Amino acid sequence: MPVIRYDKVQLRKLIGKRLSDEQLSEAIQLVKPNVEGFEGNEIIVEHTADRPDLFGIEGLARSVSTYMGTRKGLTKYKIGKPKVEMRMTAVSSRPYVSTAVVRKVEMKDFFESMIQIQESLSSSIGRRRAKVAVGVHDLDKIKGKITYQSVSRNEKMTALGEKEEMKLSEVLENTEKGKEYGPIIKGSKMWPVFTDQSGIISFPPILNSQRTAVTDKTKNLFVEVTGTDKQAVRDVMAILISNFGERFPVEGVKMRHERRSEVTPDLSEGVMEIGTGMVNRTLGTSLSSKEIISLLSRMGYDTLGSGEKMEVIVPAYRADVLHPVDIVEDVAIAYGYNNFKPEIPAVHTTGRQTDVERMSRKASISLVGFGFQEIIGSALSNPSDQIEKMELSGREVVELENPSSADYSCARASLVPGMLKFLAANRHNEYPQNVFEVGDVVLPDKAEETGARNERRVAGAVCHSKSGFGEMNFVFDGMMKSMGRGCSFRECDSPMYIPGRGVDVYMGDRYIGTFGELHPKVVQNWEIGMPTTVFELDLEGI
Amino acid sequence: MSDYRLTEEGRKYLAIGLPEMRLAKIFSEGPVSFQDAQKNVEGFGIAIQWAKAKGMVEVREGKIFPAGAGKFPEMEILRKVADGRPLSDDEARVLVERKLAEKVSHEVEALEKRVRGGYIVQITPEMIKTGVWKQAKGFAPYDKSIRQQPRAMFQGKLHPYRQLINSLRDKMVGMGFEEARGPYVESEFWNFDALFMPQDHPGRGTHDALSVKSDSDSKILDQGLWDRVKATHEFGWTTGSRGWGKWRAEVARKLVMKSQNTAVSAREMASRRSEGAPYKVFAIDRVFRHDVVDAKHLTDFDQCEGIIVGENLNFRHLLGYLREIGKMFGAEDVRFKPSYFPFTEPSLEIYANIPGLGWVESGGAGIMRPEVTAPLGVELPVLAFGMGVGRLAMIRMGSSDIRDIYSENVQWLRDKSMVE
Repeated sequence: MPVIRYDKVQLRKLIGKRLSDEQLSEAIQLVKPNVEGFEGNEIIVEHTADRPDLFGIEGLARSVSTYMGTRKGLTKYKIGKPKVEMRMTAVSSRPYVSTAVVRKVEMKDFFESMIQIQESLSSSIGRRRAKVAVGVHDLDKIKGKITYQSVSRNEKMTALGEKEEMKLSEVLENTEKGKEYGPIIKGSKMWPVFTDQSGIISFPPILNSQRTAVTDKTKNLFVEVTGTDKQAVRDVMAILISNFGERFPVEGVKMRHERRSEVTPDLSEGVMEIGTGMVNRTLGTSLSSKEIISLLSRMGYDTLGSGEKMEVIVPAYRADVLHPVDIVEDVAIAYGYNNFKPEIPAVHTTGRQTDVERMSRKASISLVGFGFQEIIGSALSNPSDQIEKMELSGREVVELENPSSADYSCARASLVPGMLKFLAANRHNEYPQNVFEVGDVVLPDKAEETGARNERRVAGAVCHSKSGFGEMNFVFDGMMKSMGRGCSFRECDSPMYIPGRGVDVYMGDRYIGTFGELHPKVVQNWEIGMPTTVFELDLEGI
Repeated sequence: MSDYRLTEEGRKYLAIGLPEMRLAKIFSEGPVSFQDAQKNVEGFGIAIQWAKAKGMVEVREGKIFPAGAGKFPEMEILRKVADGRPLSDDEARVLVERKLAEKVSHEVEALEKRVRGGYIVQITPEMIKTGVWKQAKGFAPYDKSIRQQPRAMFQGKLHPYRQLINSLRDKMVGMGFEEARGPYVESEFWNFDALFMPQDHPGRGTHDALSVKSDSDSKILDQGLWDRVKATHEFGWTTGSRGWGKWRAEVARKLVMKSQNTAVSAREMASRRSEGAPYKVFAIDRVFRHDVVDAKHLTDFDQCEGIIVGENLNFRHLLGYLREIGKMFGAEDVRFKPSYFPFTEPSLEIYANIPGLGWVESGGAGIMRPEVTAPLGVELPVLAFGMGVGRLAMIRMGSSDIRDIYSENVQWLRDKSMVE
């Protein structure tokens, strides 16, 4: 969720209404974004990902003033007849392009918001420029006809902020942006550029040229949006133009392809069909068409028709509207979420917890009765804890591809290592330390849909100077009786136990758990320094 | 020294004679009335009982008639004990049965020696059984300022976080919700695609979700379902949606650690479809994120998610449930704010007014999008909500560090008061 700061004074000016900080904050939150607070001259707004049209200060102001009734319905932006023409060639790595010209620009008060909207759009819908990238140039510094084409990595340009000409491959290696966004195009043989008669003016999605850079003296802008997804390129351009168009006249660009030509930007509206029935059924209201139309007008829509046949005209910048339910949400937002009367429907159902949960509680009650302290740990662990420190070589664990740290690089396959980690952390505390944990472990299992399955387990540890098999036997037996289950023991030769002091636990022929006195090697691996006896039991299969 | 010694009663009889001996003296001159005998013989009850048993008397019409000469071997044995002479087993039995003598052990004697005239510190079972404690001067008082007993003893306790989770679970069940679970290793299909999250959604990236290393990806158990989800993503299928565009099964088959319990809701909807309605399902379970553990973040934490599926459910019902759930969890009031989740529309955030804390963001909710429900086979409205449990737990545990949930400090756990 992008967090963006806006100049309060400018925002108020664009809204066109005198608003106190509190009123401003409330109005914004009613539209949708969250206001985190004020700092000096700035208001800090946390946006939701679905409304990139609100990221720019102009778009935010438009929605607030429409919501407050300063303007009504859909705001149209006139696109002037194209005076600029450009030549398009097939660029397979970034095939979709939209361009526009903005005239009579005054950079004062605009420069920063212009940069901000480009950045926030290319990082959000643009997917960090992989899907869509934006470039803005000083139109008057462009010489002759603009061409969009693929060129070799040996072509040269003077990138923004650089003094020397560089090969494109060097731009990737030597500039900050090149290092950051280079991976997007590295795989292609030829790279996309915009050129004029003097050379490269833009190298999307990496950098613009220094030569056409926008300065505070710039009067006319050339805007280019490139990407790998047609809809996303169109959406980003629509949002940009609906922001810039709030301040300055916008002009189309004629783009000549080999066999056809088109004029961009395309701000044509969409249409969503709704009816009073579906709106009221979804919201639990009884709104008339007139009321719905008026609510939609406050959200920036025009609506045609009435009753069950209403056509909502969706502005091009509303990239989030995919389905009539998106319109219904805007009706609800305009109505005010806190103006709805909450109601509990008469739907009778019987609640129930899972069987394994009930078993878990029985085991816990029994162990608490034996004086055990429950502990809870992360379900993530690491192979060293799960396997090596337990002296087990055969255990398989589900490992992570991208762990956030080496400590949490696999799912736990046993609860015992977590308990031993706990005991190791409490060496300085008083003994006896008898602890237990109930939780899910993850076991690789090729037969399962996702190649692994969860198993609910309970595990316990008795840790004090006289800890031994006998005491644990007592506890284990009591716990099994409390759960109403019988079991039998078989000798086990697990290397984590002292030879002859560990058993496998069976219910009939089914293996359900294990217990025994930990081998001093294991105790030493964990640096617990105290005899420790453990058990672990599968609660799923008993 | 004898192994036996006289009881108080034994010593008395040695001095004044057995009760039946003393009774015999009275009726030696002829029958006596019960009343006279009672008046003149101490311990008459015992006397008449033994006199009868030894065939010395007959009782008729309230009078006692002599019937034969009595034998009193007990007196000789009592004397033997008093003199410290050894007893045969039979002799010992005669006295012990009448509780006139008792067996003495050397231990008891030693105990007596120790206790006599002193103060008892630790009272033992032997002292109580033998009555030796009576020979002590009294009991030594404790220094009551010392709270700690010499041997450590700790109560067994549930983790405070478990107490909270159990209480939440009970409340959800009380509201008619059935509990569900889902696997920790999940396919992107259930975790994202079935929830209509576009395949290039930033939340699906490796910065948010934890990917699983595996040589094989998820199986496709229901090809029809996968086809419907693909169609919905690409062009909206029959839902009336615009869709997101390109969709690839290879992406959906990748494995991740379940990052939201909405995946569990999706699985439940797919298996219950419309036919099982109305139903309410919840899950309180772990979800996993690519986060570095610090005071505010854990790599895995619990989320409480629920869905309500039934005919004619609407937005006001959703708000009704949320208000009820909020109150159940201790909020004085709840408010709602527009929000965004890829799988619900309308979507909202829940703010709860918690006493002492003010308004706290407590969760998200909404009505499931048709792009989610239709491919899963649910044609009914689905109300959905989700809440993080961690923040509530921190409030209830009085904790400012979320790592306390997985506390590795046994003392902290031992000292913590109970949580609801």
